[in-house]
Formats: sequence, C-alpha cells, structure tokens
Amino acid sequence: MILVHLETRGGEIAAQGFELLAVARQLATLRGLSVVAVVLGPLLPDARASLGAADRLIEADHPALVAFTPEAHARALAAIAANQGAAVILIAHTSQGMDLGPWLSARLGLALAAPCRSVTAGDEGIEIVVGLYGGRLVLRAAVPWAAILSCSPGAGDEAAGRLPGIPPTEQADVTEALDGLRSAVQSLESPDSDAVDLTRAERILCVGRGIGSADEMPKFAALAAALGAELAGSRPVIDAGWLPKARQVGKSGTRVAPKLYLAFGVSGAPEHLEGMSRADLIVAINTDPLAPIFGAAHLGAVSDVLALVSELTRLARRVPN
Amino acid sequence: MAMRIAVILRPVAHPGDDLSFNDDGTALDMEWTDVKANEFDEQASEEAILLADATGAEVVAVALGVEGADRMLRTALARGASRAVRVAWDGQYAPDSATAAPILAEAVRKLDVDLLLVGVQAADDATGPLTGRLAALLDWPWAGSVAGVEIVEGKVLARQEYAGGHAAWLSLSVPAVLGIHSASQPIRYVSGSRMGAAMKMQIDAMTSVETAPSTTVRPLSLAPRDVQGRAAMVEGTPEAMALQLRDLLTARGLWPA
Repeated sequence: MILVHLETRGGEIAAQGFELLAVARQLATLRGLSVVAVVLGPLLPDARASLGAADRLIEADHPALVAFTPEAHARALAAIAANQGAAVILIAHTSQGMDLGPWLSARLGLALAAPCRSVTAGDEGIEIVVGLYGGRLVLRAAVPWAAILSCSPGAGDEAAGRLPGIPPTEQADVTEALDGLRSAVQSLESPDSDAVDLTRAERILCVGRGIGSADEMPKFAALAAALGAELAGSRPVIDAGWLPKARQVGKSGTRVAPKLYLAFGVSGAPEHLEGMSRADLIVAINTDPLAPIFGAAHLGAVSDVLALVSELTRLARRVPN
Repeated sequence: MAMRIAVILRPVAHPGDDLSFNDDGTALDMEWTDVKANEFDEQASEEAILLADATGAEVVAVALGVEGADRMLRTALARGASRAVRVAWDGQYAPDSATAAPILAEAVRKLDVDLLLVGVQAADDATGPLTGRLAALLDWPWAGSVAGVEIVEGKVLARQEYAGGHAAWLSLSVPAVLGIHSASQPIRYVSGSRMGAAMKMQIDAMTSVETAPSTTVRPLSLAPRDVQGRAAMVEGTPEAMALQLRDLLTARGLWPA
C-alpha cells in the first residue's frame, strides 16, 4: 500500500497533499495497491470531505501532534507506516517533509528520493525526476517499490487528487511511540502584519545574488520606484542582509502572484520558483544563459544586469513628449 | 561546562557553463567540474561560531576527506572554530547523504558532541537532507529549516521556518541535531591574515567505519534543464534590449505612462 502524509495548518489539509494523493492514485492503480492517507494532529470536521482519492484515512491525534515537531511527527508516522506495512510513502518536500523523510528513511530502511518533480511507474521501479544544482540540472533516477518520495509542488495534479468523498477513517493510537519526547514547541510565529505585504503588490522587482553586492541595491530601488514596483529579494540576498526578511520571495519567504515580476540576477532555484511562478508576466535578466529562471520566465534577456538596469531606469524616468 | 558544537562541512559540485558528463550520462564528470563549499554548510558554520561567541562553546569542524574539504575546514578555523577533523573517506568526492550519514554519525559519537549543526540541504544530493538521517542514527532530537538558534539553561532553542512567513521556536534537549538554513547574522568576512594563520593550523585525522555506498536512488540520466523552452528572449546591446522590454511592457500596460 501507498501511504500519503497530509500536512495540515489550522486543521485544514494543505493543498499540496492533494497533489500527493493524485500521484499515489496513479501509482496505486498501475500496481493494484491501496492508498492510505495519514493526518497527524487535529482536523476540522469539513476537512475530510475532499479525500475521495484515498481508500482509507488514518488519523492520529495527541497533544504532542497539535503543532509540528520533527520528533513527534516522525515517530507517529513511522509507527503507522510499520503497522500498515507501507511500501511507498509520499510526503511533501516542505520544512516538515525535509525533517520527516531522512529520519524515516534511516529508521524504516527505505530509500529516500528528494525533491521529486515528477513520479511515475517505470520499467526499473519508480522513476523520478529530481532537480539538482539549484534546478540547473535534471536527474532522472529509479528507486525500488520500497521508498519514500519527497515531492516538490507541481509533482501531481491537485484537482485530480481533490475528489469529493470521505474515506473510511480509523484512529491510530500512537501514545507509545510518543513516549519520552525530547523536543517540544515553545512558541509559534505568524507573518509580521506591519511589514510590506508582497502578496498584494501588482509589480515586483526582485534582485538575486547576481547583482553583485549590496552597493548596487540603490540602482534597483530606483528602477522599482520608477516602475511603481515593490523591491524584493531571493534568499541569498535576504541572508546577506541586503534586504529585510519581509521582502523575501520563495519557499521560505512569501509566495507572490503579481501582474509583473522582474527578476534581476536571480538564478531561479526551485525554492525561488515555487514562490513566484504564478506571476502573470515574468521577465528574467541574467548573465547565465543556463539559469533556470529562464525556464519559468515569459520574457528573458541574457545581459549584464547593471547595464540593463541603468538603461531601463533611464527610459522609465524619461518624461513623455 | 561549555558545550561542544560540531559542524559538518561538505564540498558540493559546482557545474559551470561548460557542463561535462560521465560516459553513460548519469553524473557530472568531476574531472572537469569545480567543487565549492555547500552554501548551507557555510551558514551552519557561521551559526556555530556565533553560538561560541555568545556562550563560550567549543566548535569542532568535521568533514569527510574529499576534494575541497581541507579548504572548508581551514576556513572554519579562520572564522573561529577551535578544532578541525578530517574523517577518512576512500572516494575523491563527497558521497550522497544516505552514504555519508553512517560514517559521520560514528565520527560525531567519538567527538562527544552536545550540538551538531549541518547545512539544511546540499545542491547535488537526491537522497534528502543529512539532518534527519544523523538524528535517526544518533537517536537525538532534531530540527531542519532553522534560522535562529539560542542556548538557554542547557537547552537548545531553534527557530524553524515554514512557508508563508510562519515559524516556530522549538525547544530541544541536548544532544541534538539542527539543519541550518540561515545563520542569525550574515557570514563574517575572513581576512587574508586569518586565513593565512589557519593554513598553518593542524587538521586532525580520524579513521572511519566501513560502509557500503547507498545505491537506492539509481541515476538513469543527468542533463541540463531545458531553460530556453518558454522565455521569449530579447537580444542586442543593453540599450536595445531595454527599448524592447519597454515596448513589450508598455503593450501590456505595465510601463509607466
């Protein structure tokens, strides 16, 4: 059987869980396997109504599972997987999944492949496609039918996995597995509501490490101002302290969907693309013709970013005749 | 007593513009590919030094003896690590985390460590992050995607980040493993004189346990992603490209009137 771990937030099932169900359903149908969805922690009553793609639902509720800790969630998931005799486990390649997958792999003796951009049944086992080197290269690989697959967003069709129906549900008792935990949640943080809200911006100008240094930032701020765009940065730019955290776009920052997304010197790591690929128009400027950002962009220019930003700013500031 | 913090350092392949693959097209030809420090290991290294600055902890930098490892170990020494350990490894390049974890876990056990920091991920690894594997093998609590670490009354507080700006402070008893995403402060500059001094410092050699390479993720092919498939490219001088972009954006109502 194929086990699918569904992450929750506030008692709702996270959207990516339905993508995983779609992947599981496809694999299960080909091999005559069943699909078992697992939810750890509390679930709102209506949250079960779209789990028709699963044959069964296993829930485990326990005080230690209310908020995520790697230790409690991994132990509970391992206990359920062992009890069910799961051969294949699907998880989302999120902060949670990145903690769960490797631990389960070592404990259960299952191969782990991550982050999977696609998963299909192949002649040589399960065939996966993994983006490596910041998404610049694509690895096709095979894993046995005893594996954990940590999937990035887009690996499955969310609509195909979100089917009406509540599968037969059982409660798993994981009390024993959660005995003697050595970690706990101390406090939770929500996004800073006073900071800039990039999700509301219609135009975003994002800079990446490729702009060279913090000294160049005023040039991009000037173009952003001239275009009426919010200034944003990729993770390395935020880590280097060139821009505040609230201006980070990507997996660990904000997911945005503006009308215009101008990316200067952003290579386009999968974590970044995850945060901005829903923009209506993506314009990428980079010196590296192989930069993965060009795969996500609608318009591109291979150029020295500083030369192009100066030209664009000059044009944007020009008073119309 | 001050804590002992170990940080694991791992060079990763750094493919440039001229890609070169092995004969069966399943991996990079490392003969023609540069290696560089895993950027997340650099963040972990910085966080370890910051903790040492704040608490008086001792920092031990640990790496498998692969190409590029000594450079990373010496950089850690120059930043303030008190000791560097090179763990014996037969291969010339860093193995995936599934293969490396048992050897590194054994080394960490020998070093009697209170807190182990690793980079949250490596760009060339299809077998997932090292953090959870080491935690499973050492039977320690763990957390990855960490940006922010404090040591309070003998416990580790780690700020774990999630999508959309959400985060949690987790409290972990020691010993523990953390996968560092970002250090609490930007990585410090290492002066030439400090690097020069570190070049003269000793790197301790440690033997390692025998282990079989992981073969559970079997590569079939490795190729550049087709990146030109979608974007319409503008070409010419920067001035010409800027004019084309202006016209294209104006046509879509996205250029200031």
